[in-house]
Amino acid sequence: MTKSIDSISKLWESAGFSPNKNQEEAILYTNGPLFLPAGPGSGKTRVLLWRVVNLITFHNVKPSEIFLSTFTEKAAAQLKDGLESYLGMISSEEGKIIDLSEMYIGTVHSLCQRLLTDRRFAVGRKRNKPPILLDELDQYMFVTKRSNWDEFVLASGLPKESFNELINEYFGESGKSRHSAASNLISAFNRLSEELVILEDALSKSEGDEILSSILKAYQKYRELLNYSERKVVDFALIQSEALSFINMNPKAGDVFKHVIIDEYQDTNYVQERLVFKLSEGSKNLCVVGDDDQALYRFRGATVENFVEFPERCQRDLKVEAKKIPLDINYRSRQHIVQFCKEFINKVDWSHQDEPAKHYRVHDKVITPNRTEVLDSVFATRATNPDDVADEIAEHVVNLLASKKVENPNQIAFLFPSLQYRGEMNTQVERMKNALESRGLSVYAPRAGKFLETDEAIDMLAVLGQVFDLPVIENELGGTFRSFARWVDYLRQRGATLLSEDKKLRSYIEMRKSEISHVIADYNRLKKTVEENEWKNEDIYSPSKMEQALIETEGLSKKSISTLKNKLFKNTIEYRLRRRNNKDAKPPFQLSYILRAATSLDWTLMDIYWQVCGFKHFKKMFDLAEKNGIEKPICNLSMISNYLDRFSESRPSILTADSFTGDRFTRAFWSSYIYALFARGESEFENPEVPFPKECIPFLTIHQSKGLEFPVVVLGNPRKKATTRKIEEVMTLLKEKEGEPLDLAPLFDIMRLYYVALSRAKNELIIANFRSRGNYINDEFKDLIAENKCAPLHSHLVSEMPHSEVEEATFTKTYSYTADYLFYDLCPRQYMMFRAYEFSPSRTQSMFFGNLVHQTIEDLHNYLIAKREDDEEAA
Amino acid sequence: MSAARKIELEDFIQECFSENYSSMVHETGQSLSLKQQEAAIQQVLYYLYRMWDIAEKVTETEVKLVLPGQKTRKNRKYNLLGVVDLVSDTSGTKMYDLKTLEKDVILEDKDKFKKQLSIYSHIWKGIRDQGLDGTAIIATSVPSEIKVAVKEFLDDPDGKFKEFSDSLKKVNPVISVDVSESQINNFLEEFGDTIDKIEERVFTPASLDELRARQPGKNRDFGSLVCRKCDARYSCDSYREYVASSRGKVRALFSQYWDDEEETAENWIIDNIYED
Repeated sequence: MTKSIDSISKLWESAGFSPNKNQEEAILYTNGPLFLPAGPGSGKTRVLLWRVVNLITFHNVKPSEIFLSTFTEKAAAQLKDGLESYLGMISSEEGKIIDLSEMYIGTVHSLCQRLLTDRRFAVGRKRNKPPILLDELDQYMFVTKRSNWDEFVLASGLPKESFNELINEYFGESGKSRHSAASNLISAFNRLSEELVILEDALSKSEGDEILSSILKAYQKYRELLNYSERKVVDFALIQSEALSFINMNPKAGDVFKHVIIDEYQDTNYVQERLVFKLSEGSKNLCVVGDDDQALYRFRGATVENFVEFPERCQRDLKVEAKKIPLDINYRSRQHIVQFCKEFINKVDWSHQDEPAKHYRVHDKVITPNRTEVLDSVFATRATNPDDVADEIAEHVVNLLASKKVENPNQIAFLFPSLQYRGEMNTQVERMKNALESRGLSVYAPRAGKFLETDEAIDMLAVLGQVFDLPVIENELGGTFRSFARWVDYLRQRGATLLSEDKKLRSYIEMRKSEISHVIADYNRLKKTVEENEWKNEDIYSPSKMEQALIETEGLSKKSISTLKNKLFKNTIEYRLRRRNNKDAKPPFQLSYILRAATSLDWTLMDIYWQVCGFKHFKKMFDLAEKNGIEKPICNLSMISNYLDRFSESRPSILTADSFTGDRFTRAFWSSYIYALFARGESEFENPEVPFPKECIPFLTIHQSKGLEFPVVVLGNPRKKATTRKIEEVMTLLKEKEGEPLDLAPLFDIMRLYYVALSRAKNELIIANFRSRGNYINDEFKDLIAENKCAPLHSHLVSEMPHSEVEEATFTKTYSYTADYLFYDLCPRQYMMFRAYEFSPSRTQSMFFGNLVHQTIEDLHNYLIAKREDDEEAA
Repeated sequence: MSAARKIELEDFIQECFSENYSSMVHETGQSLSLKQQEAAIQQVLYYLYRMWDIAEKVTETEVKLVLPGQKTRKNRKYNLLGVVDLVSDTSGTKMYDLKTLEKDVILEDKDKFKKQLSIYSHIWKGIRDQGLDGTAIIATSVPSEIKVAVKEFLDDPDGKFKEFSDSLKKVNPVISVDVSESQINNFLEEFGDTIDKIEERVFTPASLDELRARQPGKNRDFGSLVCRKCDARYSCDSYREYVASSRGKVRALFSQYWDDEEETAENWIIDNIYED
């Protein structure tokens, strides 16, 4: 029954794919570096997928020999699903299944994590212990942690009182905000890591710039602090340099992968470039795909030169010439839109000032539209004040929907350079939103608002605020602190209201509160006994000498007494005492520990969260999802559980009387953790699988729209100022780089940003044409409108628009036998909570136990297998 | 197994176990009581010594198997993923799934595992040009009749090894499962039906009758065995009904707030309080 597929073109035929000449060439080219500049809508994802299919099916490359990275987890998941689908098609014809689990597909960060434990790179095949990875929020918490922060200040040599101000000023901001100073430091730290800056070298170059050398010293301290703990700790930037130095230790590292394929290469940074060149050192099969005109991430350290100069760097580092195949047919947009994009990007001179033949972009590309309808597709509103512009656009949207030319509001995207300004919704965004909402339309703008300001977050935290005292914040403070104080005040009021509406909830909260005061009272009584006996906190606890006196403490609760007398508890104490002279054993317990244990609560923050979820106000939200399919409230509730869980994970989860002394819990939870979430403006829940809810018009940042397309795109704010960021100056100094000139780079970046926005449109692109006092648009847009490159929106006939169908997802999802099928089978509702909506559970003991046993047995086997291989090799 | 090998492997297990334990504590923020930790390491040692013949010949672990291009009865496309714990080369290639459950639980629920292993072996045969000579489950939970011997061995590894080895002969953790190639299509159809329900967002909780049903191999019902560990029970209609219709302490406490019996968790508390 096995029939062999003799050519890829037969596969294309069954998949309904007919590649153009360049696409075909790009798919089939397998020998040496490959440079694929891919314009918008040019089908690059398909090309990548078929390239991999071709390698696996016709060139005998094993999935484990392919390294395929892209920019986001979402894009990586799509590539993986796409591959599964194509290969699934082959397997049904060939009767052979190809297993992709060994293939590297993911973001560079996630693949670095995998590299670090990959036995093929380890010298002697021993598994490397992976470092602990801090994500962005972890990193922020680490940097702002009081004790660490004080160390940075000290190391910097700057005066403590003016540290924040000096740092902020250096990066062009005013004010004493510690949040701003921390954010500035973090982005500087990340850049230093990603550019593999050598500290001594940087310190000598920074001479004469006092603040810069202070920042470098703080960075040095940061690296030291990360290395303090037993297990290495790294942030997102450092995991990459960690992976690079790990593979550098193995001389054969360049031979492990036969093909290295990097998508969105224009947004890679220096360390990533070094990493991928290293990985392809042996095979030389490095294929990069991207579009320099769509480079968006300089502010995160990306260097578009990696892409533009790729051919030269292949010559320099791999000593071979790269084959260049442009993917330049745009299948997405109508002719007029393609033409407009081209004219827009050419408004700027991209040539080097002293060498006009050289360019800061891949300048010789010719993007040709595949759709050749000659119809106006780019429109500008009347040149007038923003309110009238918003009205004109909103009216047009109403007409589009009424004419059914667009089936669903979620096919009309409003794109903005940013949705927020200093934590508040941007005014132009607000105007557009109001104009649409006043016409009965709904808007979905997840990044316009803060998660902590959603109803669900406020209500849950308001109730928690009734158990765990909210902080009192002095009001003279400015900026973020002031808005935090207002938010906390609102929580207080809201909490009182919710309790007054539900008697059971109120009595439940009162019970928990009284439990807290009881353990505190016990704690104070026990401390008194300790003082009376002239013991010290750090004394080693000896039951024979101390237990009686503690138990006889006047007024001590029954609960404390029973803990002190608990048999298992006493066994543990005695066990440690017996082994006190054994230096490997854990030391005996100190008195302070015993006091805490005797005054512990038998519930945690997570327990309270889950119990509160059972009261009617919150239960309603679960019922909405379970019975009516309404997801937004439950998604936000789940996100709260994730945040609370993160907080609980960072400390002992048990609460004791001592946790509350001197406002300790209030400070750690509200003033530090919740404040960090507030200051960072963590945004609302976004479901990566259903990014834009139906019946809502999406308001997105241009960054968010990367890689997407919409039948109708409205450019909601065509104005952005070019400013040079300080960190770019710093990096130019430290790295002596010859990148894009500092004075031009900001303009280049704005052009690229808008190019991305413009090229998202399939059928219709609308530009808001602000012109009134204080409101205008960037010159490039103004010029194009003056040159009549856009048609006037008011004369546009909706009836001329083609009909836009709602597209179904093309790729297939993967479901697990145990984690999906068996879990759902056990209880669909439990599945809904913990798998579909990813709530954090309070205790995971049963899973923990099984995982621990499984993992240890697996390690045992890997050990046995590796040993056997060694023995065989030796023989 | 030679004495040197025995020491080497026991050391390896000890080291690995504490490393895994501390990583998991770090990752999850949770921990196990001393008693539970001991039970976990007992399972590993029980496995090592009782299953040595198989362990020695294991060729692959954690094998991910993907069956692409599937369709549900409602025409939804999906891929199926399964993970096989062990593949061992003991008189032919055999596939093993480890379960930290008691053997009785598995025996009573054998049909469930038959489905799973049938699907896994079906994918295996599709991927590899290699047959499969058997499939089985290994129940790593230490059987009650040898618990004492295992514990004594753990306290005194050299002195009590003989007694421990002898006790192992009385038990067998391997449960062979006959896979059924002829029923594969039915199994996949059932799997697909579940996918349809998930995609259609059908999330009704297990019913009251299910909550009251005795669980395989246990003398307790679903409500006390599964629901009691589920945080979502406070807001769950089925569980509320279950509690309302039950008697005693559970009911009294739960109905005051919906709260149920607090587990006594001294051990857990001891291990979770920080030391200076």
